[in-house]
Order: sequence, then structure tokens, then C-alpha cells
Amino acid sequence: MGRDVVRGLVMCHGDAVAVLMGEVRAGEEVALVDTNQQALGTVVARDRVDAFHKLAVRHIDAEGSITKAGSVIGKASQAIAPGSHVHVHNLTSARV
Amino acid sequence: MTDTDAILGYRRADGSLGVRNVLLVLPAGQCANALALQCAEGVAGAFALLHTQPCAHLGEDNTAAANCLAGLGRNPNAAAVLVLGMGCDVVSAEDLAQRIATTGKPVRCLTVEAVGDWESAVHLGRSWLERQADAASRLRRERATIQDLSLGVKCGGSDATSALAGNPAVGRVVDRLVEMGGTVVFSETTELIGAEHLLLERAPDPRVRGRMLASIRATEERIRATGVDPRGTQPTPGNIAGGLSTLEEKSLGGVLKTGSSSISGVFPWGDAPQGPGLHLMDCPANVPQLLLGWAAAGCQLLVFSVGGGLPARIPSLIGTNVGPLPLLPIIKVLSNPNDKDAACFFDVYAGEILEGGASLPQVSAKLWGSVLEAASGTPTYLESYCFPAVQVWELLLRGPTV
Repeated sequence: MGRDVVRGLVMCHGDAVAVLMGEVRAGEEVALVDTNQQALGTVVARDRVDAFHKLAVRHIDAEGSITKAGSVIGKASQAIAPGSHVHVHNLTSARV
Repeated sequence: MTDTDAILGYRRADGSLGVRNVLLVLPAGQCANALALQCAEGVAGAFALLHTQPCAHLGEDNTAAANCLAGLGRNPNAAAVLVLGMGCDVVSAEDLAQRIATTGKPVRCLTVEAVGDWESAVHLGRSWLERQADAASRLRRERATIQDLSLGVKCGGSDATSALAGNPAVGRVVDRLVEMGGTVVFSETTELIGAEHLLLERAPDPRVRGRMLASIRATEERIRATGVDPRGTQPTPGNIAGGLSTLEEKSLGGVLKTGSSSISGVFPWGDAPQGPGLHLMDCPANVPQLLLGWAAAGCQLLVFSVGGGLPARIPSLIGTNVGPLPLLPIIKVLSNPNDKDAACFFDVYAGEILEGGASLPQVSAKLWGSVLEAASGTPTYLESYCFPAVQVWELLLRGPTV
């Protein structure tokens, strides 16, 4: 029995990342939605990612700023492909 | 503004709007706490605000405490104020009473020294409160507008869901209230370290930017002086496991509850904002001090956004032992769907945004409705819950003591 497609919440249009509403496995499709619960398409997860962690919704260049909820939350320490887990291994603070 | 945005409150002599009718019994120092309890006991609507002001604080801490206590008395939710002291209090009871009386509300000052003995002070205080209870019971709510409202916003027990559901919903309420001419106060300067860039771009006035930056830097320096690095320790390992990657991402979560409105001012703990709009109150993230600060700043209501986990699973309020300050009714918001069974402890459940059952605009509209209802007299969850203990409220202390 297949399980429900996990949703990825895009807080602001234009954000580089979505926040997963459930855990996903590599190869699984994620349904992107905005805060009005409107569908924004899909992205295929490249990694296993926990609930409430971030997934790249588009390509991000190395050293590029990463935005969530319309604000910069740091920069990419390497190029990030769509569907990748975005966390401490590829996202670093620009403030510390 | 639509007709449905009206609220019902008590118009005070100074033009401010009370959303509750508290008979405030205010000790000038902790030695008068027991006197306050004895005066208030059994009088309907009387609340003895016990606090920690000793004789041992110095200089600016005493000035801030005096400002805070005067502000508590001036809060529109206080219908009448009985100021009590021994007579030798560092913060003068007479000065407090004078500062409160300029609002035009009924104020009485009693000190053991002036009255002659403790028992007489209790007797006089009780009699005065009973008369005020009678007068307050005759006051009627009248139609008012949202411009009369000053709202505090706070988050606590935060987890990954706070930034996704509750805080953005609070932020939309903040933007709506500010746009309609109301006042909003956010605080917790400690939480703004690393979020300076998010706030500075929202303050059009360079003086406000300067004061905001100075407050955040001074807070960071005070933390560093204790040997703790506030940047290197954030986000915590628990935050990282929960999905937060950077200091600015964690700070952003808290800042989201302030919406996207311009920041109009910064003021120190104990003071009140000058005019409407969105203001920063400079105070660390210690709940009792914050609640006193918001009440002293004239806020009539507070929205408290909780993430989930254990902080969501207590009926009272995290960071206090009993819950609310009657001067400052609190609307509790829950974000995490994993704690949905504890939603009965809350006024608004925002987790529907994460479950897919409601949009952010729908949840923020529900919260807006709760704010209007609470402002018009409907008890919040915390107000309807009977707590067994008495809170002794902690005043802000920054300097050394004698």
C-alpha cells in the first residue's frame, strides 16, 4: 500500500527551499505547496530527509544565498541540486 | 476597517481602553507583598501583584523598576490602583501613586509609616478596595476601535513548526493591527542576535536602527561577559536535529511573528512605546520579566506562540509557575500537529497549516477573531483555568546589588 505524497511547504514564492511535512526517501516525489495550500508542482527527493527539514526546490550555485520565508538564511557551501537535503553539510551561516 | 473589527472595552479617564477591570494592589517593594495579599484577599477583582523589588538593587535597576511599577499601575486594564509600601521603600510608594494618578484613574497610597501600623493599613486598604470593586462593577464596555489596542507578541517552546505555522500567523495579525493604526510590541533582544539584518532593513528611521543595533550589541556583550558565546552555541544540537541549519534561520523563525511591518521604535524595559506601530522592547527572553514589561508598556493583550513538545503539554505558561498576569490576558497559539491532543490548553491551533487542512490566511483570520473576542471580554484559556499557586514576579536586574 503506497503512502500519501509528502508535502513540501514553500513559505514564500521564490524561496530556494521547501520544508517537508513528513519524512521522504530518496527517489520519492514531494508535492510542493504554498501557505495558501496551493500546489506549486513537484520535486523528486535525492536524499532521505526527515520531517521539517529542508529540500532544495531548484538548483543553487555554490556560494549562492539561500532564502526561506523570503529571507536569507545563509549561503551554499557547495552547488546544490534540486531535491537535495539542505542542511549544515551544504548551508553555512553568513552571520557567525 | 470593517464593522466586524470593532471591540468592546472600558474607556478610561485618559482616553485609553481597558479590556479587563483589574483592581490592582501594587506593593512598592517586596516588604509590602504580604500587606498586598491581605488587602486583596476576598475582594472581587482585586489582584495583588507580588514582585521581587528589594532594597538591594542600585541605580538604573531601581529607576527601571520604578518605571515598570508605575507603568503597571497606568495599564488601561487596571481600573483602580492601591499602592502599598512600608514607607522606607527604595521605590517610593507616594511617587508611584502620583505617576499613576495622572491617568485620572482612582489611586490610593498607603504606607505603614504614614498610617501608623500594619493592621490599620490592611483595614484601610480593604475598605478602599471594596468601594472600588463596587464602582468597577458599574462600568460598562463600550464600542471602540482596534486603534485602541496594544498587543504584545512572544514565542516560546519553539520548534521547527513555530516558524512554519504559529509565528507566520501571528505575523499576519501584527501587520493587520499595525496597518489599522494599533500598537504592537515585540521583545526578547537575546533572540535577535544574528537577526540584525532582518530587522534593520525594516526600520526606516536611522535613529531607530541605531538604537536597535545598540540594544542587540549590549545584550550580546552582557552574555559574552558571562563566558558564553551566543553565536557559536546557536542553533543548538536539538535545533539542528529538528532541521534548523544556521543562526539566522533560527532567528528568522522568531522574527516571523513580527510580520513585515516597519519598526517604529525601541524602548527600554519599564517604559512604554511612543505612539502606535511596531516597537521593540529591550528585554531578555525571561518570561516573568517580559510579561511585566509588556503590561508596564500599556499592552492590554499578549499573543504567545508555542511550538510543541513539553512546553505545549502544560496547562499554564512555560517560564512562570502559575500562568498569566491578570493585567495582561494571554492568547496561546499551538503549532505542532504532534501535540494536537494538547490543543485543549490553547486558544488557537495553527498546526492545521502543516496538516494541509487550513491555509495561513485562514488560521491568521481565526487568531484575529480570538484577539477581538479577548479584547471584548471573552476569557482566554489561561484566564479560565484556576491555578493553585501565587506568582512572585521577577523584576529585571542588570547590574550588581549591594
